[in-house]
Amino acid sequence: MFKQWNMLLVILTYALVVFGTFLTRSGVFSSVHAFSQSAIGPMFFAFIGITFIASVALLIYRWKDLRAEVEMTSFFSREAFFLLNNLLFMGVLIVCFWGVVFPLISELVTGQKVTVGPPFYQRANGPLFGALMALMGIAPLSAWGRSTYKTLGRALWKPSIPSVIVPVVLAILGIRNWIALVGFTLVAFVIFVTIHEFWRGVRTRQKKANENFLVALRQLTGRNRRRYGGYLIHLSMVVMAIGILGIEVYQTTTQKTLAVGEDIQIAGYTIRYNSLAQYPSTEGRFVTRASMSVFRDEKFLGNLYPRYDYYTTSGQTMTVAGVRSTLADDLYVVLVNWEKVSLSQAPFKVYHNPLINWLWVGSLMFIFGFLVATWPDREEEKQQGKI
Amino acid sequence: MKTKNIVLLIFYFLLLAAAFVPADAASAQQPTPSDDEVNAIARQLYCPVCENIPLDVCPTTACHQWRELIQQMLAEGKSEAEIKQYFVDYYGARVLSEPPVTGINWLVYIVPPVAFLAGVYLLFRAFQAWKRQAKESEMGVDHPDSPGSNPESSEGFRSAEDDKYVARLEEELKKR
Repeated sequence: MFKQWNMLLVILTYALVVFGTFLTRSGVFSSVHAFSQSAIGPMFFAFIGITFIASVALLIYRWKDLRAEVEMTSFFSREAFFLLNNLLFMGVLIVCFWGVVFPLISELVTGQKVTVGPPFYQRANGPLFGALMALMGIAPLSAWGRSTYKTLGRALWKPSIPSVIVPVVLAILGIRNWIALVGFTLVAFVIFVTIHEFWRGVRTRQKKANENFLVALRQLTGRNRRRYGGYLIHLSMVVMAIGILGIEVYQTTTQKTLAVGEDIQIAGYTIRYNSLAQYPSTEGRFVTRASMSVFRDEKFLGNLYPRYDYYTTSGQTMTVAGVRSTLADDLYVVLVNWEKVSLSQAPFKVYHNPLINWLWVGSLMFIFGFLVATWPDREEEKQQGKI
Repeated sequence: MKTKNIVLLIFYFLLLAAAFVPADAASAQQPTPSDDEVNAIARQLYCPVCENIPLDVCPTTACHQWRELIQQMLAEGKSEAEIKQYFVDYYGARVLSEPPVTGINWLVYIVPPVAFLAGVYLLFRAFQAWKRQAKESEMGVDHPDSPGSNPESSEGFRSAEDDKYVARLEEELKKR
């Protein structure tokens, strides 16, 4: 299915990975990874050009042979959603690619460099990722080939109801930011759809084989690894989305120079500056380390030790933040080495990152889902004559 | 005595005038702006040397001086827009985190949505072509394995799919 499209994506993936390496390594962008004083740039560019043009030429040559044997009768079929999903990913690609190369184009045409910074990507990619999440909820319920809005609607309404309740509850709890409301609604929608799909499969097995819930779940997942591994990956993506929503919508930061005994307040936390120590350490480092105590509602939560290490031989400084991580939030304290630091007073920059650790939980779930989906299937291999 | 009256009159006049001074001018006499006030503007600016590092977290001496300049301008009562414009006038539009919507810079905002909409149009056309193709093949040759050629009504399709799913489960259970 979609062979032409598939080949195009393969070619683009290879070309863009090499192009990204070219941009940082050749010195087009200033980067610590650039090859210093090397003539590799033009050769590198020629290599990208030749491989890309040759690949596209071969694709055009074989275009007719790769024609898809598609039988798609509905805009609501799984194939249609699959293509829409691809289009959204291509949209993200266009935004990122254009944002990266536009400063070069601008410099080439007008001689003026411009910066395309985070606000551009956030504004342009936010809605695309929102749409991708919506598709993650809808697409698994559509059928291959033929599916109508009626059949899709019938499959969707059950998991949709609790998803609609979520924004209402959040609004009652005081959340007014519309990006958070839409985002968490989509998260809830995908979670409910996925749970509903698992539940449907498990119930069918329970009815037919009289298995208990856990056995039915294991059998169901074990025998349909790709399908249910895929669902686990969907779940992991929305768990990651929780972390991204937390940091994008609710991150706060503050900076203050503190004398010993003074404190910084942020998001209900009080961070008190206790002392500063400066001492030589191993590997030619000279360490400047602060000691800070964290409180919430006057309850002591622990100490943090933000520091920066000065490497005397290279003259480089490395900042090591003091971090307190929970599933609810991260408290990230930086001893600001670019302002004046003394034993009596020091500047600190504090970030409060709500929900950010769900990004890591989601990443672990993603790996698990990937393993479930791709673990070799003995029965399938037997059928293919490999065993 | 007369001189004393004149001095008092001037004093009262100044006191009265102070009450009517606009808020902007009042802020000019405020104490040193906080780091947070400086950073709120600094994080929107990029110095020409430290590529892609926002000013609020850039450790170089030059950026430190820029932050001091922002602090000084805030203390003078300059607005955020005025401060940003000052840096644009001196160092060009590249100090801003996004290009201003002028000249060729329009392209940065126009190209992604236009390309995306073109993609939507192409996809729509492809869908239409495939639908037509499927209809033609349905009228011509019937593929028994293809869900597209299933003669069942579309309403019944979901249940047909469910049946297939149940049948597969039953088959798997028999194998155990």
